[in-house]
Amino acid sequence: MLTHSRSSQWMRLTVFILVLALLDASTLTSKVARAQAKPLDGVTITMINNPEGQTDTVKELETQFEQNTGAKLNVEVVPPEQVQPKIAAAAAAGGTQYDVFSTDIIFLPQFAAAGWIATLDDHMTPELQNDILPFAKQGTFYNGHWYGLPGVAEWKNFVYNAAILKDAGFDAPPVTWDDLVKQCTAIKAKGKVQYPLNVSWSQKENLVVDYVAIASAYGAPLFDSKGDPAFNKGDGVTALQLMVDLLNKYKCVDPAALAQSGSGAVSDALKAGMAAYGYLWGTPLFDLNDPAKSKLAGQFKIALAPKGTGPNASPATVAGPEAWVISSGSKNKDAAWQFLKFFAGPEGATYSFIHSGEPAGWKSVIANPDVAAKLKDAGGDIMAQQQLTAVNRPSLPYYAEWSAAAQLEFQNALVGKKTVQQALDDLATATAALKAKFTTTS
Amino acid sequence: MTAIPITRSSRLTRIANGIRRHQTALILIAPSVIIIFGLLVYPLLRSLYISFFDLHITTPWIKPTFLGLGNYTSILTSGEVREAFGRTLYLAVIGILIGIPLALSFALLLNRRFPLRGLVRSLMLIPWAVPGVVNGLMWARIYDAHFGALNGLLYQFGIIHDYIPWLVYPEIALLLVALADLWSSVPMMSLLFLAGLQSIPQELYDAAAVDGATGWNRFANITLPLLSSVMLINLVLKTISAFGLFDLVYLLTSGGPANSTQVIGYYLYVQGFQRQEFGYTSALAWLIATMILVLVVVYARLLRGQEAQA
Repeated sequence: MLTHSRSSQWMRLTVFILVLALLDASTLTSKVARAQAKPLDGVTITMINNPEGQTDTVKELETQFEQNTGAKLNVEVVPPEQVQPKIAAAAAAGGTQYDVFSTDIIFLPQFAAAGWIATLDDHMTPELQNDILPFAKQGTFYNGHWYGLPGVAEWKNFVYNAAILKDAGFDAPPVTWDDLVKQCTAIKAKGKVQYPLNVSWSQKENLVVDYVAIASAYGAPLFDSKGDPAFNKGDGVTALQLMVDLLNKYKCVDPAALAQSGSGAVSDALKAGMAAYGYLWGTPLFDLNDPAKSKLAGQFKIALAPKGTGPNASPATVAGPEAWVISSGSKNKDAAWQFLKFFAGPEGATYSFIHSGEPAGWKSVIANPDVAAKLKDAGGDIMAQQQLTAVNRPSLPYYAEWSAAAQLEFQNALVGKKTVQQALDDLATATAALKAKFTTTS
Repeated sequence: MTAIPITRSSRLTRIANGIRRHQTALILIAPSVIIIFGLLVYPLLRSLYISFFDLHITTPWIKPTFLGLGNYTSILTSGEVREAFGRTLYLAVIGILIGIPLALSFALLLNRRFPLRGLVRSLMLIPWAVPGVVNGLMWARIYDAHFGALNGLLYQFGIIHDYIPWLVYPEIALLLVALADLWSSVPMMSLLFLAGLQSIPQELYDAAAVDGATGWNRFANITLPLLSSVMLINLVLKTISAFGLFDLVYLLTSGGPANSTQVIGYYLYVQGFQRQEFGYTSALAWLIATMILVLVVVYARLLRGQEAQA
């Protein structure tokens, strides 16, 4: 009896110890699990992007971020033309729908003035600030505040087909627009190409972009220090006159340009041997000189953009920097900043440049030896020089409206409905009306 | 006998009784009524309301301002709107002058007996059934300055010696948009004419033949008068569709060159979705809707007059 009772006590003691051990083990497991927990577990960051922006490299970076931090990225991919209206609609409804999105330089002033994007002044360390390229800064900084980190920070590069030029008797690309006209005339005379300069000048943003590129080559300021139109005077007029002459007088430009949109068409014309010159975004030689994509691979080179004439002329081009920003209505601002820093900061930008050739707005990325090696055969040295003279489009809170008016007046001049001066004067009048309307506060 | 005055309370009681009697029916139609109200009536009323304001959602630093009829007067005095309206009328006129005779010819052809008539009738509907965006992309290819089928065809026949960038000339760009629009709208008009043709009794033609009427006489005195109601329907539909044309312009020209193809439907899109001028766009949409309504009433009166005469 006694033996039975003692053995029962032993049994209870054993069970008790086992339970304790199990409890301890489970506590240990949870401690280990806690130690392995990621800083943004359970956080969802929502972003909007277009299919062109959602590249494989971007997806890889997003996956890396998710794996490193435990955050979940919810990416809404919509057609490019729907991105801005969707962001505007979401922002007008409180801005909670998207945490992070990319905005082009032309929209940053409007978004900042509307209070739709959060300032990042507290996050922007002096190192980050000093690392941003000057033209890219304008895409992230407005009215004394930082609003984002540079996304794809492209500028247009002047590319040419060296073989066509050589056949026409030229060993070097044009240095000035006058040179380009002379070369065009010779190329046409020799029957090499009917329209040597390929551009997209349909009634869309691409037309304004090219006007800014050519006006900047003449050093023409589009607006004066008071923000009033200056494009209808001096070199601003010269730039548009050159465009009209390239199309109608010298016939360097294909008339089809008036209905042609985007860089893809320019690239296609170059690859088909239908043009000798073009302005292209990004790192165009990767594509043009790729034998899998181009029958004329190996014939293309990059040169500094042609200069205008006059005291302010330079081989300037146009830039189109984008910025990754945080919605002011975001409920996950800290997590969103973590994402931005990783994805659009120098580290992520270097990865993007190396893996998909997306130009970055960081000095350290341009100077990175791996990036330099990647760009060695793609005109990297010229591209690095070109970005120093990259000029942005006007920074206006009513840019979309101004651009629409500019597109119309530029086309009026190109098709001969108005003289260049009349078209630009009418644009100046329209600009004054827009300024009066959109700077009125009530 | 004196009349018993209907008091307010008795009226309410009657309404309550009515509701009680039709309770089930009301419950069953309630979801539809709510959906229609939410998706149609409320947005319509809301757009009417905001049409009296200067409302620009992308510039919240400018508060919405009540303009009264300001947006409406701006529209009615705007040169841009006038030009867009003129282009829209041009589209409608082209659609009517070319589209209706073409559709009628096809219908007359399809009304005859010939082998595989059913198949041809079905194939005829393809352009109409193709989504507008696909249609636009297809015509963009056809008009392409370098690789387009139109250039290829004309070049092969020796009609042109150089490829032509068709869509860059303001003088013809709108005509080309109108022709592309006819491609998709003519089949439906043909189908309506065909239905009309099949409703004309054969005895009328037989009697006319006995009287020695020629083919043209039969067409002019029997077919055309009896198709007048279908003609009017096609007229209404073609006019309305000209006001609603957007996809072809968006895909072929984006309103260019120099606004020469900016019709009213595209102008509405530019104002509403690109410039986000919601007040102005709402006012414009109401004006267009009113204009279409007036046209429909006029057409309907004409139609009724025709039917009465018949």
